[in-house]
Amino acid sequence: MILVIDVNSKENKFGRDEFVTPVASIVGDCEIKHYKDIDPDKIKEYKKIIICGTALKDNEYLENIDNFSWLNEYDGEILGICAGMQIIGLLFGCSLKKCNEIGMTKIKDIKKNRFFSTVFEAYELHNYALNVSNKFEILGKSDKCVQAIKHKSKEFYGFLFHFETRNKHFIDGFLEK
Amino acid sequence: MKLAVLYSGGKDSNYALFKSKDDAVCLISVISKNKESYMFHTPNINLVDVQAKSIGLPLIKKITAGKKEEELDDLKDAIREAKKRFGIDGVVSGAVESVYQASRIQRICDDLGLWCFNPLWLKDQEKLLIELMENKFEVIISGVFAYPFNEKWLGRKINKNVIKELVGLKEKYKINPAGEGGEIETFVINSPMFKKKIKIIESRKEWNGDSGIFKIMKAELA
Repeated sequence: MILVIDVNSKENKFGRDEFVTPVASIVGDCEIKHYKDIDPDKIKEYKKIIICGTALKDNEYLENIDNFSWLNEYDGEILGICAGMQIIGLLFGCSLKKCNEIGMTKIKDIKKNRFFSTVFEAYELHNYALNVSNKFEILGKSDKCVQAIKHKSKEFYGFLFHFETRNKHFIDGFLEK
Repeated sequence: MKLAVLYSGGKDSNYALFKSKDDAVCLISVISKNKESYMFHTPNINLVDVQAKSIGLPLIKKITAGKKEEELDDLKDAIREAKKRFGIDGVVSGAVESVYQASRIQRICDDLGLWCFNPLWLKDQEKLLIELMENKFEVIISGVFAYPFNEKWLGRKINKNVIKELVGLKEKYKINPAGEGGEIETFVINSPMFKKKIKIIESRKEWNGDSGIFKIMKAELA
């Protein structure tokens, strides 16, 4: 079973409709849980996990990074989208930097990977990007910032862009194995 | 939370309003004089006053010349006015697929320090139409702008059979069933938010060979 994690705050009342349900409908058979409802002891039951994004003004997850400390022990596959990428990065030595991108952006492939192999355009909606630590390799970049990463020793991936908007087929790269 | 709903009078903005009904404090309509506007052009946009009256929410209305990107300044002014008059915390849009519209609204809200909510974002279009029917929305087709639509579609009320036909067109002609590619425009005559239904008194079909609109000249609250 695939777990899709909602990181929206209560204030972001349409967060699930806007950032989680579209991802879950692309994935198909999956379970959706809010990040505050996750039982770390049961997380290993999921072979793959997707951590979704949030609205531009919703940064509550940044104050609750400890809620994701289960990632340190998890040995399955994770794909973090936008906020999800930031969460993965912050737990493994990255830091945040202000970087505002809204709308379609050109992304250049940097390293061969499971998802894309050429320059493509994707939808962006973020105020922060990552200063990437040496625990990750960079898979893609825009003119402004790093757009896709992979953990060097784990199957943890991060996209800063919202693949669910115009690059739905990228999910195949995550689901195929 | 106090929210302003971007309102065109069509099905998506009405459904977005329905979803945000507990927090909506006003409606915002931008009326474009440019028929080619990607952002705002909608047949029968002049009737938003009647719809707002039925809904019972104040309407902030801005007329724009509809010049590309400049019309966004007019939208920004309207949102700024909503912030000043009603103290809104955010804006709700009925954007479903349009990255062009959604990203521009997101930028304006970001500039003004407001939340931007898109409760219908990337929603399956057939499911969206079905939910409208389930929630007793009465929606008519007010414009058609793609092959194989013809004059007969103008003014048709969307019901289960029409949804079936639209889905059939999707399979055969790649038409977006809810018109997200600009193939159809709609007008809502009744919804759970309306205190009174809109009665169309006078209307006509304007067909020009490959597209057309159902123009409502006179309407009143029933």
